[in-house]
Amino acid sequence: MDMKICFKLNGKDVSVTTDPLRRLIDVLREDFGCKGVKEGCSEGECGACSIILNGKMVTRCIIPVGAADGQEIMTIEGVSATEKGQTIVQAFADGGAVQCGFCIPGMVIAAYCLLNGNPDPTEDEIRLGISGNICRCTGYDLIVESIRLAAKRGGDIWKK
Amino acid sequence: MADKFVIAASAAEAAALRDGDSAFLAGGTEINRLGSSVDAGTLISIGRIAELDGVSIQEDCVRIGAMCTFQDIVENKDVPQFLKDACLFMGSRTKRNMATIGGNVALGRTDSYLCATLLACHAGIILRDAEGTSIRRCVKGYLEDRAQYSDMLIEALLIPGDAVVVSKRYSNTVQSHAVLTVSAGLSGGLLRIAVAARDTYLGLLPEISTAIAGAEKPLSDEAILKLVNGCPQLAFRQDMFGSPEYKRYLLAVTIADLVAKVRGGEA
Ligand SMILES: Cc1cc2nc3c(=O)[nH]c(=O)nc-3n(C[C@H](O)[C@H](O)[C@H](O)COP(=O)(O)OP(=O)(O)OC[C@H]3O[C@@H](n4cnc5c(N)ncnc54)[C@H](O)[C@@H]3O)c2cc1C
Ligand code: FES
Ligand code: FES
Repeated sequence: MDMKICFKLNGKDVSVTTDPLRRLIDVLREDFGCKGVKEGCSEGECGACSIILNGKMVTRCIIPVGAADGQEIMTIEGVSATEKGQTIVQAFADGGAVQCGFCIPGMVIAAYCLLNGNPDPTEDEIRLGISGNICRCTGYDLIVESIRLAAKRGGDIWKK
Repeated sequence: MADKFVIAASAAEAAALRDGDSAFLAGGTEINRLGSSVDAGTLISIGRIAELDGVSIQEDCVRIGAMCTFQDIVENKDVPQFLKDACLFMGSRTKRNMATIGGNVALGRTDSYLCATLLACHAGIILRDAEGTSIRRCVKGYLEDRAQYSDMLIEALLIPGDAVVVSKRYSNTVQSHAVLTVSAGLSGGLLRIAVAARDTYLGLLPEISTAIAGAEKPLSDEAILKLVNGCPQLAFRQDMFGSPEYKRYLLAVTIADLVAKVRGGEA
């Protein structure tokens, strides 16, 4: 049976009347046009579908939309519209972090969550921060370096 | 595949709603994933129940609400380090933000991240049945008799204040399933050894704990291997993780190592 589900999406109050068991990933992509986030494994392992739910990074392929009622969601579309998001996206482009690009929205979300809590992470902390995100192309080194670059370039914005 | 979704407002309501064709939706990392082991017609969301949240220090234990995620536990100052270490066995930070301690115990998998540690520290568990009655058991009793408790809501886990545990997990990569997770713990003056052995056994090894605790000197690896070989519940199989002989050997040397550490105060 359909249910009215209300939540905050990228800073705006939204609602959808749908089957509460539909996967959040499908609702965000199909009903709200948030196509920036990808579906890789569908089982919570690869991190391609990462979003920020109430300030914490989670994988949306394994959340039914009913569980999002009353929550606050930020997708890659919301993150990349911010100054912080732009700093990361630019650092990824300049740092050569991207090959096929499939994992990158999830990596940007991971970097955003990491730098918000830790503006000057060590290499180990960066690797831990992206531990839920699998990249099959790059070998991670340039992603790690690009996150370091974003930390450096962003400076004080990460302390806001 | 579920076709009904309800949101429970309290522990009593959630417990009353549960029947043979439903499941509690906690972090959802198992229920909602492709190829899930959980098959339920109704999902009862338990994400908004205050009784299931939070960590608090009680007279003789630390109470951890069933909805605490692995990451909540890692970040909480009142949780003993040995349980944080067990939560870090789940390598993905993203998954740690979602997976709950209650869900992990309820699944009781033979490659469980947390169960060996909880058994070795003699953790307690608070359950709520369909009539709303609150029941206190130990995790050992819960796991040994899951059929009896499977419809009940786990409200909290209780970690004894005096417990010390050392655990070790063996897997090919941090993201892979564990072939063995072994824990040695001291609580209430008793030594407890527990193992989560994939597809084989999840539980305490009382024969081995008693023999080690009763020995005048630390037992050699060979003596512990003999004890392991004598445990009928450890009927390991040949699989991609190795031969039965190899797994028994690994278990024996790990027990020797962990017991030395927990007794030597390295926990
Ligand atoms: C790719 C992948 C790999 C995994 N590998 C492992 C692994 O190696 N080891 C391991 O232990 N787990 C593994 N898991 C399973 C899972 O992530 C964890 O066990 C997690 O702790 C389950 O918690 P949850 O809150 O997500 O449970 P959910 O998925 O929400 O629920 C799982 C089950 O627990 C029951 N349940 C949940 N909360 C309660 C409660 N409070 N009271 C009573 N019953 C409850 C539900 O009814 C359901 O049957 C894996 C999952 C994935 C997706
Ligand atoms: S698609 Fe969600 S974690 Fe892989
Ligand atoms: S760039 Fe291809 S998966 Fe990461």
